[in-house]
Parts: sequence; structure tokens; C-alpha cells
Amino acid sequence: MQRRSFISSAMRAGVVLPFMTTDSMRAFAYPTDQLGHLSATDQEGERILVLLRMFGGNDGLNSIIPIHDDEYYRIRRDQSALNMSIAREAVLPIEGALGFGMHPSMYRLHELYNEGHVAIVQGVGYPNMDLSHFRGTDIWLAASDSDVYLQSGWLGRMFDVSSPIDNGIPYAIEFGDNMSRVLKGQHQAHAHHYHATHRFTGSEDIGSLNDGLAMADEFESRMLRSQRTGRTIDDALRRVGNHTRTYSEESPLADALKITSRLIRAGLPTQVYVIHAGQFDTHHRQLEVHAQQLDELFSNVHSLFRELEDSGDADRVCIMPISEFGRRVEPTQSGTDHGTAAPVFVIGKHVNGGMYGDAPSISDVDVNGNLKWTTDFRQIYSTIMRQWFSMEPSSIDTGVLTRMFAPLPLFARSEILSSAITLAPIPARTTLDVIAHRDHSTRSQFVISDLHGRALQSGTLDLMQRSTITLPALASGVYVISITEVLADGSASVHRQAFPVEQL
Amino acid sequence: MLEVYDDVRLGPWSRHHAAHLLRRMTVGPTPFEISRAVEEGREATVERILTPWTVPTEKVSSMISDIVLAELQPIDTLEYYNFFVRKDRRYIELVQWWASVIVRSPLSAQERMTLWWHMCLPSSLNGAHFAENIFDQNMSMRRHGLGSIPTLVDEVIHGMAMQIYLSGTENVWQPTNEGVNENLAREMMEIFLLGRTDAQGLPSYSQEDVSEIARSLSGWRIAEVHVAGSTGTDYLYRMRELVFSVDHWDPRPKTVFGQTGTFRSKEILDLLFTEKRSAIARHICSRWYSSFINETVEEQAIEGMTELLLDVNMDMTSWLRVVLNSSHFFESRHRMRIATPPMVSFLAQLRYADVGYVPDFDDYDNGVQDDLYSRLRSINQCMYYPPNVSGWPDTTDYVAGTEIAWRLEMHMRLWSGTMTFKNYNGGRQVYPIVINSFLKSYGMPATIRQLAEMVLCDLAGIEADAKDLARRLCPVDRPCDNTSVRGLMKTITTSPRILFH
Repeated sequence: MQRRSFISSAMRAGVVLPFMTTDSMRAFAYPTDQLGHLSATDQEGERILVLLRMFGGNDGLNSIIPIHDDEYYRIRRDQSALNMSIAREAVLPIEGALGFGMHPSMYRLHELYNEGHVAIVQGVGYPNMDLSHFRGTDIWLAASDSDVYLQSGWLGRMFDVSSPIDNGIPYAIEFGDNMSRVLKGQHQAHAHHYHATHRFTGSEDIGSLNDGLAMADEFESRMLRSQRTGRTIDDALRRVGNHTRTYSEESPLADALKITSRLIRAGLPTQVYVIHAGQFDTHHRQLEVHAQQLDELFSNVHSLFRELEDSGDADRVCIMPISEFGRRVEPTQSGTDHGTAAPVFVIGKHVNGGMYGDAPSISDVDVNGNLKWTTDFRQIYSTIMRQWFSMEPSSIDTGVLTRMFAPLPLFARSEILSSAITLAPIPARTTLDVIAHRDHSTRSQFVISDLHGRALQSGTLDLMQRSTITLPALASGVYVISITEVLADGSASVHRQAFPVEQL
Repeated sequence: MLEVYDDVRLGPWSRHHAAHLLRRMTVGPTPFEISRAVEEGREATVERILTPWTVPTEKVSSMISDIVLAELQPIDTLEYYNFFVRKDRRYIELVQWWASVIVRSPLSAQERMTLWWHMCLPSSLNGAHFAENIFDQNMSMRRHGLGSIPTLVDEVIHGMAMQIYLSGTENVWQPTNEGVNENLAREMMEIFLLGRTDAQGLPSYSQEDVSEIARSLSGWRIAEVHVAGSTGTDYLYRMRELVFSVDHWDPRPKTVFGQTGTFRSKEILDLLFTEKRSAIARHICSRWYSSFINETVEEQAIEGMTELLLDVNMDMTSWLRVVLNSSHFFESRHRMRIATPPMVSFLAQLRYADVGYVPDFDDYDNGVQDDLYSRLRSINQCMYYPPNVSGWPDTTDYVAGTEIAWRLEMHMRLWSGTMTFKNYNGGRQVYPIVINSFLKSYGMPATIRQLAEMVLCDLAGIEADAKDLARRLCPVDRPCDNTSVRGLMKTITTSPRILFH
């Protein structure tokens, strides 16, 4: 992803930047709009994750309702002081999942599901789930075990691995009033914060009194970074029109999504957006509050999705709302208490729509009356990093998640991490070496094309070894190599990378 | 145990020590108040700021009736609309009242500690339904914030605001339904009393403990009275006290931390303060330490402070009297090591600068000026609007660059005379600072460099390099005038260092 971010930034900015390889530190430039033959999703650094944080614990049972299960209605309706169930006749049917229905307020998500753009993973949790909002949130954002206390977050560590160059263009934006853990790396914070009006208008030479006070220096650096981010984002926003779809009024979630949409449409190469998505801590007045919150969340997500479809950017975006836990099976008075497992939704044009994982049994709960989880939430994270961000599995398993979590087939196609393959020499002249860091032999097809998409050469190579391709006579310029690999599960992975050629 | 302040090692009581004490334990000490503390000495100053004072409540007299109108029917009447307008208006008025108390109060640790308790045991105006309930909670924290911790916790937990905010009045047991509402029990254990883990990093309590404590806390209800209006209108009033309803309380035995009984809420609090006394004391000492001494907690000091808190029977004044007179509190390694909460630093600037006219409370009778309130909302920290049940994140890690930028921007506008509000004629007026009064408060320093040295001491905690720094900030040493003072203050108050204390 290092190269991804780099190339993307260079493409957008149309600037000369050092090509960061061990073989060469020479600078080169190429035009901003000449990779157009690559489909949007294939372009380096173009993939985006919008992470939505549903604070408080979303009630999974009343989101994806197990209408087949009489036990659900016995506990939530017949034995409850107030009817806390969603009636069978009210739910939205889920194709391919007889026995389950979607909350009627999720009709906008239902529409996307029916179009094949939503994966629903049932029973998501982790061993020894913590029912504290704050510890639960920490675990979900850090992707840690329940007895491990990490200061960093999973997306922060993902950026640690990819080491994007901080050239003033925000590669990760977090909306909201505070920095959360999710974008904190082991040694640095990766989040760029944005606020439409919160700017310092005085001289930015403000550090004269810091006097070796490290925390004040850190504040200065954060402020200056946010000022830079603000200017970059303001510039990007000026390049696109306002929203074209209907979003909620007076909603911080909608406001953040509107800006996100405009930034994506403006081509800002930001890879991650983190947005707070409302309060789901439904201890009381659950039926009313939960319906409102689901409606607000998914109506606005729907607007974002459609708006990006309209602009041709939806291919590049994956949206995932997460919450620290689900809620207890047995209701209290007008609400439900903190619980455990709940479904997770992954939304996007490249998502393999459908239901995944096993729904937890309502009859077989733990000693505290909570659902038993069936899919570890880190499997979803792993899937996103592998299949969406095309990271190399070993760097996910050791650098981000600490061990291997089996991915789920949530995306229609996976890609290989750019940095897992090194090209040399850079710039190339007559030959191009492809060096892959694989532990097994893999025969792959390659195609070299120019920036207009014309194929110039093709062949096979072994990704385990250093393979040398003798190039045809190429003029100085930028070319693209596409390598297609057939994975063990039969799916095809495509790796594309730009490389410069310079003839003496 | 905590060592008493060591004059030999830490130097004699000086302006630096006085400013350090007052920056942390009060809100926005004025230059004159710092000078007075220097003259009075450490012990007398500590004693003075720990002395309670009676807060004026005239401006919130509308919130002191015994019953609160809670609802009225039908909902399509003008009365109903007016009721909600007034209800929402009182939210704002309560924040404005407290801000005015802080900015215009005598120098006191009471205000700072009340704010701290609010940040430790937060409730939100919207979540507590009525400003009246929050006002009662404020008075409880004011009454006991410098007193007995068990009494404070008892009053807050059994107060209407917290009961409504954390679903206590929804915590109803019914024989047909095992579940009770655990919200209050869980947050009380995690946020208020024990923390999620203990000193050894082990869980402080189990899910079973939460369930059992929740069952003990059940049974509290709000007394309501319906009154029929003359034209078919139905008014619902709420009494401003909770009533215990045996019918809604879970009467079965509960086992909590090894003790079994049919506990009610008062009994369970007694049990917690007996069985977990040390752990509670430790949790509160750790939180206080990270808010008032250093974000990085020193374990040995916490042990000493915990022991002390237990020795003084959890009485905050007795405890603070010792802590604030200890060497540990004044160690130079702790100076400027805590990020000042945004609302504290903003209100502190207004008080320190002795801003003569604040539209929200100096023109209070008209009740339509909400400029300060809006500014507090905009800096990511306004009283009674916490982001969630645990309150505001209180370590530097969580402070975003945008927030820093905005806070410094407000300082700059205040001192450069461009922080404005709309007056009734549609024109703009500024938050006024009278520079001559400000200089008087500093004893009319002869030159701008002399002023700079004192300001650097008072606001930025700069001691050794103050002279050099003053020379750098004021290359030309000249008599103080409006322009030079404002320029100097603008430079100093827009340094990120100012956001620490």
C-alpha cells in the first residue's frame, strides 16, 4: 500500500515525487490522467473504506430478526412487560435467508441488499466478550483479544504496515470531536481531523513557548496538520458540487457523509474515513429509538451509495458500520441491556452480497443470557485488508492482527498487495525484474501495457522467484504491468503496478 | 505517605508555586489573586480555596419549585409548544448560570471540583429530561464535592438526574421477567467507583456482580401527579424526588462480592463502600491524579494518596488539605503536564482577563443571548452535554488538531478584541477586556517585558527562562500600552503550551 498511496497521491497531484524503491531514488513524473484505461477499482490507492461507528451496542436481534424462532417471540414478546419484538409481518424478507427478516427501518439497506451490494455476517463477536461500552469499543477498534490492552488501532497498524507518505494529502480522515484509537499506529497517529469552521486564523508560528514541553509540541503538530488537512479538504470540496441525494437534516452523521461523498467525488486519495454513526445504547424506549437510529444510519448510507453510483465512484468504496456489542436477548422494561454477538454489514459494489456465518441460537445462550458468537470480528477485518485493500496476508497476520484470522469470501475479487511485489530496476530500460515474496511457487500471467491501455507484451512468470522480463523497445515513459494469479481457492487475483522506463 | 512541602528542595513559596496551585485547583485565577496567594502563603491559600461558599441561585429561581411540569396533553396546543420551548430554554439557562458562577465566583476550589465531579459522574441535560434535575445534581456535587465521597455518590446515584439518565427508574423487577436494567449498575461500577480493571489489571467486577447490583438498585420511581386543566388539558407533574416502590424492587437475595442479602440500593452502596473501600479510594485517587497532577500516574504516589483518603474517611477537604500541601503536588516534573479541559481553559481565560461583559449572563434578564453557550458547545466541551456516559475523554491522546486550532483561535480573538456577539440592534459588540484594569491587577508593571515575565509565569508555568523569553517576545522594551499588551497576550495565549496546566 505504500506504493499505492504514493502513486495515487502523485496521480492526483500531478507532481514530481521520488519513486521509493531500494533500486532507485530518482524522481520522475507522469501526467495525472493517463491511467484511465484501468478500471477505477484497479487503480492503485483508489480503494476506500468508510467505517461507521454505531456507539452503544446495536441490537442485532432486532436488526436481522430470527422470525423462524418462536423462542425470540416468547422472550421478547410473550414474557416481556412490553412487546420488544419486531413482528413477522413487519419485517423485510431477506432473499436467500428464509427464517430471517430485516428491521423495517432498514428498508434502504434492504434495497441495496436486493441489488447484491450487502454482505450480512451473522453472530459476530470474539472470545470472552466484554459488556463495557468503553472496553468493548477499545477491543473492536484495537482488534485485540479481550485480555490484551493495546493503545493502537487496527487501521492505525494497517497504515503502519503500508507507511503512506504524509505529503499533506490526508490518507485517513476521522470526523468527530475526538481522536479515537482506531487510526492510532504503534508510533504515530494516522488520523487527519477535519472541521468545516474550526481553524486558527493567526500566524501558524505558534511554538515559541513550548520550551521542550513534548506534549505542547505534539499539540502544535496536530494543529498544524489539521490546518493543512483543512486547506486540502476545502480545496477538494471546491472542486465538486454539493450533494445531489437527500440526506438527513441536522444530523452530524449526514453532514460527515455528505463531506465524505464530496471528497471521494473530488478524487481525494483518502483510503479510510471514520465517522460516528449515532447512539444505539437502547436501555429504554428501544423500539422507537432503535427504529429512528437504523433509519437515519441506513438512509444516509443509501444516499452516499447512490450519490457515488451517480458519479461513478461507488466501485471504489466499501462501507462498514460496527458496534461494540449486540444486546441481551431478554428485554428489561422498554429496552435491552448490553449483550454480545450481533450481525455486521459490509456494503459495496464489489461485495459478494448475501448472508454469512451462523446466526447464534436464542435457546443456547451463555450463563448471563447472552448470545454465543459464531464469527470473530477480526475475520471481517482480515477480509477487508486482504480482499479489499489487497494487503499481503503475512503482514496482516503479523503486523496488524497478531495472528491469522480466516477471511470470509465477502468480496467479488481479491488483489495482491502492490508492495508484496517489487519491480527493479526503477526506472527500467531493457529488462524488468519482478520480485515476489512468496513461500510457494505460483505461475502467473502478466501483461505490460502503456498508459492508454494498449497491451505491449504478455507472458508467464513465477511469483516465488525473481523473474526477469525482457522488455520490448519502449520509449521513456510510464507503463503498467498487470499480473494475474490463480489462487488456491480458484479465484483470480490481479496485481497492477505502474513503472517508469527511461531510455538514455 | 505524602511528604509535606519541602522548602529546601522545592524552594520557598513563590509566584510560580501559587500560580501552579491556583491554575489547577481553581478556574482562571486573576493576577491579583495570584499575588494575594503569594502574600498569604501556601497553607493559608489552600485553606482559603477549600472553604465552601454559597452559590447565588437567583438566576435559576425558576428551577427551584418542588414539582416540575413533565408533560401535557393534547399535544397540538400552543401551551404544549410553549412548554417545550421553555423546557429547552432552561437547558441553556442552566449552563449559562453555571458558567456565570465560575467566571464571577470568588476564587475557590469548589467550582473546579464541582466541574471535576461532573466530568467523573456525568449526566446530560437531554438524558435527564429536565434542567431542574440537573440543577439538583449540580447542588449535590457542590455540597459534597469537597466533603464525603460516599455521601456524594449516594446523593448522585439517588438523584433524579442520574436515575433518569442511566435508566434507574426503568430498572423494574417483575416476577415474570428475570431481567432488570443494568445500565446504572454497570456505569456506577465501571466509571464512578472501580474502573474496569484493578491495580493488578484484573477485572474489578464480573457480569454477575453487575446483575446482582442492578437487582439491588431496582425499585426507584418518579412520583407523578395528573392535574386536569379547565379546557380538557391534562397536565402531568413530577415531584422532584424519587420514591421507593417495593413492588418494583427485586426482593430476592443477591450475592455481591461474597455478601448475600436482599439488599436495597442504599444497602448495596454501603456494602460497596465497605467491601471495596480501598479499590474505590484507589480509583478516585487515580482519576484525580491524572486530572490534577500528571496524566502519567505514579503508582507510589497513588498508594500514598489512597492510604490517606482511607485515613480521612473519604473526606475530600481533609484529603486535599494534605495533598495540596505536599511536595508531590508541586514537583517541577508535574508542571504543565495535564491538558486543561476545554471548558475549563476557556472560562479560565474569561475570568483571568476579567471580561467585563458576557452577553449570556450580564444581559441575562432578556434571556436571548446565547453566545457563550454556543462557544462552549463549539469547543467540544459544554457542561451537561457529555459525548457519552463516561463523559469527555480526558487525556492528551484524544485531543484532535481541529479542537486545538479552534481553542487557540478563541484566545486570539478574545485578546485581539475581535471576539464578538450580536447585540439587539443587529450590530456586533466585543467581549471587552479593559487593559488598564488588567495592568492594575498586575500592579502596573513598568514595561512590557516585566508584564511578559509575570504572564509567562501565571499562564505558561515558565520560570527559569522567563527573562530570555520575555526579551524574545518583546524585542523592544517599552511602557505597556493597549496595542503592546494585546499583542503580547495574543502571542502567549495562542501557544499550545497554554492548553496545559
